Amino acid sequence: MQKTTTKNKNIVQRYSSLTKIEKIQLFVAIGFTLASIIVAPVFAWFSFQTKVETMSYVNDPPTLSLASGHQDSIQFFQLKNIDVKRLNDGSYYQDFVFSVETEKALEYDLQLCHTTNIPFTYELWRAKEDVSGTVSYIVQEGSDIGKTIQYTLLTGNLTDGDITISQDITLTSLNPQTISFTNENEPTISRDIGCEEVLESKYSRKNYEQGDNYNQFVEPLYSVARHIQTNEKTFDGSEERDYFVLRVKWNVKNEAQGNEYWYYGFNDKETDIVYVSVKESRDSVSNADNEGN
Amino acid sequence: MKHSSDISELKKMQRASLVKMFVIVMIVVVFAVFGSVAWFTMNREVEGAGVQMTASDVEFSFKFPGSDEGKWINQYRSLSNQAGIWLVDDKKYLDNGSEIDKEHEGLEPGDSGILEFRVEPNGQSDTISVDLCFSLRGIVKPEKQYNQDGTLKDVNKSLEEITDTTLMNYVGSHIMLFTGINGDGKYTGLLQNNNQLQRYIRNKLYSKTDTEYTKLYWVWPMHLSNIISKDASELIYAANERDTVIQYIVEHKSGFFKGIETEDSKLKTDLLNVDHYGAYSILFDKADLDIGNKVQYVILGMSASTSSAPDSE
Repeated sequence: MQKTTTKNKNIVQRYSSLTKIEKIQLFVAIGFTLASIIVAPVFAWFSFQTKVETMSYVNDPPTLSLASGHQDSIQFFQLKNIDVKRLNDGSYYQDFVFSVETEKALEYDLQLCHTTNIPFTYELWRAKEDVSGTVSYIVQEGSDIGKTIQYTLLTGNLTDGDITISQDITLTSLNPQTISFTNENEPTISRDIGCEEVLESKYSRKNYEQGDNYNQFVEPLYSVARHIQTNEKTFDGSEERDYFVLRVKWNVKNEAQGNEYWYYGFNDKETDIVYVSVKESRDSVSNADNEGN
Repeated sequence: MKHSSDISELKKMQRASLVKMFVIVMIVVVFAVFGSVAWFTMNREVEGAGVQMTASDVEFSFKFPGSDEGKWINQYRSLSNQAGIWLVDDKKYLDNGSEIDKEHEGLEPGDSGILEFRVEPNGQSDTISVDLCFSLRGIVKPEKQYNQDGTLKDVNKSLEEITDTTLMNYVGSHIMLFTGINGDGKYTGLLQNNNQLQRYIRNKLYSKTDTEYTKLYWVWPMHLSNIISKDASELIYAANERDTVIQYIVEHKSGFFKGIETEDSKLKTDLLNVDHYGAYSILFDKADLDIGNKVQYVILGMSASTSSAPDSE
């Protein structure tokens, strides 16, 4: 009590001891402090009275999707019923058209994965619609159903103004099979898993000496083409698709003997499964910064 | 001796007092100058943050046909910087709320819509003329984080306003505002950003008796072709405004195109003739990608102030 009284007396005494000028300074300082305290909520009040806002979420950019040729949807991309029989020995192939719906994506990776019951090899090409093209696609839905569209394979570079887009696709094997050459004209492809020699030595069985037995020890092969740039944008955006041709290749030897049977296409072999997937390239936005205009 | 030392002591005290008085006076002068400048400028136009004080009481209030505070009101209420709420309804709002699919319920390229409002005079006068200022601000999209099993982590982060002016330039340019729509469904009357990314409707007259709402048309064009095409059916706005819009695009090229270096006159010629469409389209889409990847929310604000030149419309 005494301490408080003493303290209060000090404040009062202190105030009394101030000179006139000091008292004025004190009141001015208090005045400015009060003014600041009042101004802040006044500004806030005016803001609420004179400004309104509305908020919305911004969606993430859409994911890429796969589709078929022309404007067809993905279910029409089919690799079934490839007839590998040919009268003459040699190398043959069949082409299949598919597309990537790019929407706003600028760069993406295409991954290919396939089982190896049949010794197919695969190539990936960029393509575009061209009446003189060598790859045919029959439209499966929509107003052009039944029509045959021709595609041409693209190589080299596509240039538009100052932007150059490479058309060449390099499929990089992620788990390659082993290839050896006994002579330069005839490479021998040997696989770590799945070929008849390995099966016989490791698992005491053969699949393709004769007949149609599936190869249960087969490991799918994976390959990927990275940083494929979205091709020239069509003007009205109606065909925002990049077209591709998947080329399926095989060799024919009609009188294959013993283990050779494995390496050649025969119609009585078990089915293979092929996967194609697409994903936006991870650092595509920053990579795209390096493009000039 | 004692007398002279007393005098010098007194002089010292007086000098100290004078210095203190001088400092106080300078502070008062500084406050008065800033206060006057703020008063005169804020009384006339809205610049900068859009906070505005009028010379007298607030003479108007906003009215809206809807009463919905919007789907994202909880997120808005968590912001430290808020204004009044632009009330919307289920047909007129700033997002693609008609989509049932949750992935598409927000804004994305290709979306468009209407917002409505009017200004009601509060004072004695039956009419009022106001300047309306529209501006966009954005909230940062947090980086996606993943758990060890590859699933997306649920990140709870407080909303942070975007300060990146380049990014906000993309937002302000790609989200376009129009004042009208013609019989063909094409927008008319593009509102153009100034250097502070503000868009104005000036000297808009409102009266107590007229209860018609003003419509603001917002659109986020899907393709570059939608705003530069020579084919009127491809354009989102009336074809007779093409020259004006292309000029606007050129003047704000760094907002429409990411990383553009083309000189203005060449850009204008190319856009008018639709040359090198693919190249420009890629830059246009790059800016859209940046918005989609880096902006979580956009906030459209409208502030109003009484016009400096009343009844001039």
